[in-house]
Amino acid sequence: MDLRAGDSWGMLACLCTVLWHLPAVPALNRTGDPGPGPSIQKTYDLTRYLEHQLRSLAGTYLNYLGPPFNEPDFNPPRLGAETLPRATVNLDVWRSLNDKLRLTQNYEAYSHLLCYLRGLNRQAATGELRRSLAHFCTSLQGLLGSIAGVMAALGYPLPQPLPGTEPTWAPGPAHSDFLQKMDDFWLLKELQTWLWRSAKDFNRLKKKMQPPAAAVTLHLEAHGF
Amino acid sequence: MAFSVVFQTALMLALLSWRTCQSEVLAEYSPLTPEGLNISVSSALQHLHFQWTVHKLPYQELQMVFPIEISRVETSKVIWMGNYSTTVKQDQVLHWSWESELPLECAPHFVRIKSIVNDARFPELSFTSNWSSWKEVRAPTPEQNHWLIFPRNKLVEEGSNVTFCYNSARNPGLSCYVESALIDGEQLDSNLFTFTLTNIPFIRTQGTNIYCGVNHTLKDGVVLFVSKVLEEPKNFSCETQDFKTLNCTWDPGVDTGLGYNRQPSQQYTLFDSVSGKKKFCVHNNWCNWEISQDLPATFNFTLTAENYLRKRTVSTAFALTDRVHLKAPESVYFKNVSATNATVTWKVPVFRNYVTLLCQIELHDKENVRQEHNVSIKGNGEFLFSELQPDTEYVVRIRCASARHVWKWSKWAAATLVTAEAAPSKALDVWRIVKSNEGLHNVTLFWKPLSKFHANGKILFYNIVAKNLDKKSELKLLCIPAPTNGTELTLDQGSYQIQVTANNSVGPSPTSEIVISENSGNEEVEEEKINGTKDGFLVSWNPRYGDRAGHVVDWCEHPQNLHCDLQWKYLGSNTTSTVISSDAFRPGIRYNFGIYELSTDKTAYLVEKKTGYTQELAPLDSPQVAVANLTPHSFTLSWKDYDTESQRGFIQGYYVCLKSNSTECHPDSVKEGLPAYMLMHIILPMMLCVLLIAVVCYWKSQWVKEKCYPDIPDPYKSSILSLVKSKENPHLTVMNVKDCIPDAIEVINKSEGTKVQFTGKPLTESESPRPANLYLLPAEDFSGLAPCISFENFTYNESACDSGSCAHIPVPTTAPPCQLGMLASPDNSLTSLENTHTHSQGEIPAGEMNMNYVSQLASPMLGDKDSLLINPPEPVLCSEYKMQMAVPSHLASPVLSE
Repeated sequence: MDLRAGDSWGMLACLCTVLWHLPAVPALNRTGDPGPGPSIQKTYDLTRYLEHQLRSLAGTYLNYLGPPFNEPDFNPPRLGAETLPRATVNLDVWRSLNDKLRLTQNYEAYSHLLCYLRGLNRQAATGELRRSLAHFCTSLQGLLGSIAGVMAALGYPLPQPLPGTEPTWAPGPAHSDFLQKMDDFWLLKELQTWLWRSAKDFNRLKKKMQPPAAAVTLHLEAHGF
Repeated sequence: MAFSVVFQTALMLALLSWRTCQSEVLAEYSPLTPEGLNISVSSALQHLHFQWTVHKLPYQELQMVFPIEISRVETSKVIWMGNYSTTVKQDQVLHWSWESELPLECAPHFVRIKSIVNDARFPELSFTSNWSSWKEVRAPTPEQNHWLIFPRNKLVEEGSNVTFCYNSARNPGLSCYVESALIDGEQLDSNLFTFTLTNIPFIRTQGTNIYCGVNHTLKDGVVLFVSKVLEEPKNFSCETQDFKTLNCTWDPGVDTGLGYNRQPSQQYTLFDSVSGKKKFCVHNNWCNWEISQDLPATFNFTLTAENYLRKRTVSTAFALTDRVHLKAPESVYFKNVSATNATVTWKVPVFRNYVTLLCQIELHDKENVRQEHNVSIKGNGEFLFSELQPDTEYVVRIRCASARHVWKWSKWAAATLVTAEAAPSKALDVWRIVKSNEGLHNVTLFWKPLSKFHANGKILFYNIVAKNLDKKSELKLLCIPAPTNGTELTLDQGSYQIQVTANNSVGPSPTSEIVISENSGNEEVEEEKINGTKDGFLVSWNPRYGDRAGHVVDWCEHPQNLHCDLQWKYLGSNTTSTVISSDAFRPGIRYNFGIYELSTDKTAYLVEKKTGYTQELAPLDSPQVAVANLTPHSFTLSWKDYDTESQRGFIQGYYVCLKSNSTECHPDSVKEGLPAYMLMHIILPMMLCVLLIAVVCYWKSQWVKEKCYPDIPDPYKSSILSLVKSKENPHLTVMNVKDCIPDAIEVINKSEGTKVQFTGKPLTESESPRPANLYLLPAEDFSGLAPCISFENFTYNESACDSGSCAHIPVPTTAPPCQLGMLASPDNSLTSLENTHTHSQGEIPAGEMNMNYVSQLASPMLGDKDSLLINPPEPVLCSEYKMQMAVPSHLASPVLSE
């Protein structure tokens, strides 16, 4: 067979085209690394589990605080709880968050909440309540580790705590015990809201990692406990 | 009048003049007015602390009174007035406190003070100063803008009263709640409200919530921490285990700790007033106290429980030796352990060995406490046990306490003691069976194993020595290993002394000795029947020989088994009866008892033999009867005797019944050994009946003779039957029938005992078996003769006659009883007949006869039920078969059943 120069160039162009599209062929694009998908799924599952666990714990703890904290429509002002990370966010802002920022906010929020929660545990008077809180803290520590794993899988660095910003839990003698109870209330409420938000966050991430992603709507409300 | 007016005016002027003069004097001492009044506020305690001075005292010290006035909200609203009396020294700073029931943050307070010199030593100084100016006091409220309710974070005891206030100046319409309950406040000022909670209960460790809001919007809240009332420690006591440390314990009562670190749990402090030492206890119910070795061992402890609100104390005083609760003894060992003695040693872990201890020692065997001892020791203990049982496991327990005062016993320390073995302490219980055979004595020796109590160890073997008493030099030695309990010896016919010993690892038991005489095993003693009961046998005998050492009764508990399980019982020399009972005894089993007399030289002589049953039962089988020598006038019946071992009761005789099937049956039933009362019972009524008939017949003899029985021969004039008992064989009976020519004999062998055995139902008196009957069927010519032969165990013959199925009484005239029975109840015959044939058809017991001899001349009606009913006087059971052929019963029966 006699090949002409024009034919050679045509074949070269065809070969290059094939090579160019090879990565897009699914059967050839398989590697041993499953990617961040399973980690995100596990993190999502963990948030749902913690949400369930917190519902029981919060009921017990609010009864322990007494009325009005255990009343269904109780919604006190934040006052001393201003330092707690807020989960509530504008829907447009939430949609515009990129993956890194979304994960970073989650990680930072749970780092702070975990620290506050440990303070809550230290002042609990009953042994049973202390055990329940300690168990929840361990679970929350697991969620934090899981988020860190997802961030590492996606190549995002973990946020470094700024010096001097480590939250502390040191009610002074002048501090009102009623305000302290309100802080405890807000801590549990904010934790609940964060778990709702995280479930949405990780659901969104999960779908994003498995295109085509379904439409996600975020519906955040501050339900009473 | 004018004079009085002038006098009064003059007096007034004089008084004014004196007052003016006095004011001038007081002006000189005005520095005594309180100065530098400083007031501090303690919000938590709601206290106002006053501090002031009095300058320029004319003397070193002066008794003074300070009137104090306190106003709230404004100076004109004085809420408290009082005096404070004290001795004032030069340049002294005076202090005084006042507690407000209302939180000081609720409203401003105003205070003023003045002084009065009231010293009797200086009457000239008695005067009252001016009031100081009003001093306003406001409690600090760092977050005044937010805080509306006071007091904040108050801590009170359960049952207290607390007054709250709230300010609605910035929040019109403010309403307050206690644990969700709306509170109506009392208005103190335009915007100031108060309310008081009385007898406050404890709700939770996190405090009681009091909060205020406007239209369900929370504005402020406080937590009232209510502590439970601290209780006095209960059951406070101290004790030592080792004289180094005292361990004090108590029951702390309720925990008064509160949440949010408002009040930790109560703390406990131990104070010893003897040594002056104090210790804070870490735990809330116990505390350890180190005992100082150089101090006298007495203590006076005060335990103080304390929280933020209260203290409680309890005390106890004691000497150390009165509070000793030792640890369990240690190192419990045994030494010098023999068969009956052992020494136990132990140690008590105490620091001071000079303390005398009291120890309790218990020796247990497997069942009970065998020995208890109390010993006093110092330091190590040692005790010798004696009178122990050889080869026995004991448990020794020891506990100790202070000998001076037993406060508490220590726990038990236990150890196991096993004593050494000793030689068996009791001779074996030996007996023998001797059987002579071809000039030899077959001696079977039996002995009962020694109890653990007498064995004193594990029996290893038995030694048997047989000495020929005629030839002293001849010895037979046997060693039988345990646990064998018997052996056999074959000796010649001489006299032998047999000695038996049991041996364990230590040595032999005392010797048991019996003597076999030349005549042993050959004694011929008549056997006597005895009646047993379910409780056993009463065996009695007559002493034979004057010089005797005792008696032995032996028997087999299972005589039917190959191993008869020989039992024996040694009895005293004067005993002549005993009751032998055993759970192994069963009804219907014959037990044989041998009674022996023991001579002083241990020779046993059989003196009596007894045999009997605890309860006699009916024979299971009937004899196997054979008919021989059958002639027109006689035949011979023969059967074998019962085997003695298989008898279920004593066989007292055999019953032979001969009866015919005609209406005019002759009383030819023959019976051996029939009791007299039975004969009288039946014969007398028969005689009366016959006599009555004879009188009537005599009266109407001619008419009757013509109409009813013109030519009836007199049966009593014929010798149809005669029973001759064989002299050669007592069980062989010969019957001669002179005038009848039987052509067949049917032997029907019935055994009720067998039936009972089949059903498995135990025999009772009401169900006792009927006698086995042998029926002889005569020829047609002799139909009027109905010989009926049966065998009977007399023990059970009553019910046999009651059945009415067969009569066997020799009645001289009219019908035999078996026929009478049929006449009385023809249905019975049918039933009986059917039963008989049904039985022979369906189930053939082993004891029944297998062959029927039937006559060819038999009337067909005999197998016809209807005919039986039409012609009722039929023989019963004696004449069912009329075919002259030998057929098995199961083949012949269907014809009859039709």
